[in-house]
Amino acid sequence: MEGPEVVAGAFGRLSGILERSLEGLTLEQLTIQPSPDSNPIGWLCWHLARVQDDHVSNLVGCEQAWVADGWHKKFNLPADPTNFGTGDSVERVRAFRAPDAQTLLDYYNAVHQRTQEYLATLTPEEMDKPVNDDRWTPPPSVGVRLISILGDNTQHTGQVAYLRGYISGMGWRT
Amino acid sequence: MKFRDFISGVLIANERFINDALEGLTPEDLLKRPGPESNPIGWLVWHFSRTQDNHISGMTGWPHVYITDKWYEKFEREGDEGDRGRGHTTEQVDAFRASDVETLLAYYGAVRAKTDRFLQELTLGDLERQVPEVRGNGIVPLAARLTAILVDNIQHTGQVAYLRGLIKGKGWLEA
Repeated sequence: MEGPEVVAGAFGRLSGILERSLEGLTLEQLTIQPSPDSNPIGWLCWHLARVQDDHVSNLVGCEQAWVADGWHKKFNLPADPTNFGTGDSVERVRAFRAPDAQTLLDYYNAVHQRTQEYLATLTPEEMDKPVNDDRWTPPPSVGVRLISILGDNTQHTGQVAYLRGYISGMGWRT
Repeated sequence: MKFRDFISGVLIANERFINDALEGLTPEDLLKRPGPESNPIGWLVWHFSRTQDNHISGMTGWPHVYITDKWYEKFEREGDEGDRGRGHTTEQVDAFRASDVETLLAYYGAVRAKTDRFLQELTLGDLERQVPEVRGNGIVPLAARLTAILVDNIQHTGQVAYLRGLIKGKGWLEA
């Protein structure tokens, strides 16, 4: 077992947590904010899936599922690959509406499936190569980029679970 | 990239978020709960540190630094290996007191040093070794238990960062 398998195992833990956290949530619950500046579950789930879709597609060198598989239509949003929530203002976060909890989970799982297919072909040597990304000089390695994506997505998954507890009270997981 | 560099890289990247999220928080900030059953920052950091301490011990047989270095005294708690926050009632969470950010970071630093010793000794063969699952549900390869600990710690770090935003408002991460 080398780097790529450890990465795959870590990503593999997130969808189950998201599924339990989203289960049975209403449209209204997806927009609950504990304070005016705090991100709600619906936006958080969309954002973390968009980040994984954008960043992993960049590593693969392919079009995002958001565009290629028409996921943007299910969210009633344009096919804009640069719209993934990073830097969204409070107003944009509040204006975001997810169609429903199941669509959020389905989009995440579609992205995750592509991520696992990519990781299954990745070698430890390829993880040391620089990414094809001209926003950074020098560009980070593929492994460092995967560390960033995993950290970002796992933190947001924890926030979604925390908000589920905030909405449903202690014991929602048991 | 070797598995060890990836795991270390995840922990190092996560540490930056912990430090940034805790910077300048007062003892009162550490106790704030957005809902009656929502965990506050102080409890969360103590809990994920205790979890990492416990699981590294579970995979190595080494003692908890919480016990050997008497960190429990700094948290004014009993020297009990089982006292890690899992299963706490909301009253127990409420009763938890972290004196300050420095104490939380110092205990987490001691746990991380122990984790680094463990990672340095870890071989590829060790990752396949069968160990009890993270919550005691059967037997899994050590790699699975290790990634479960990583994912647990990073999720709680995300929660701490979220609470920081709730206390300080938007923009703290960029500031």
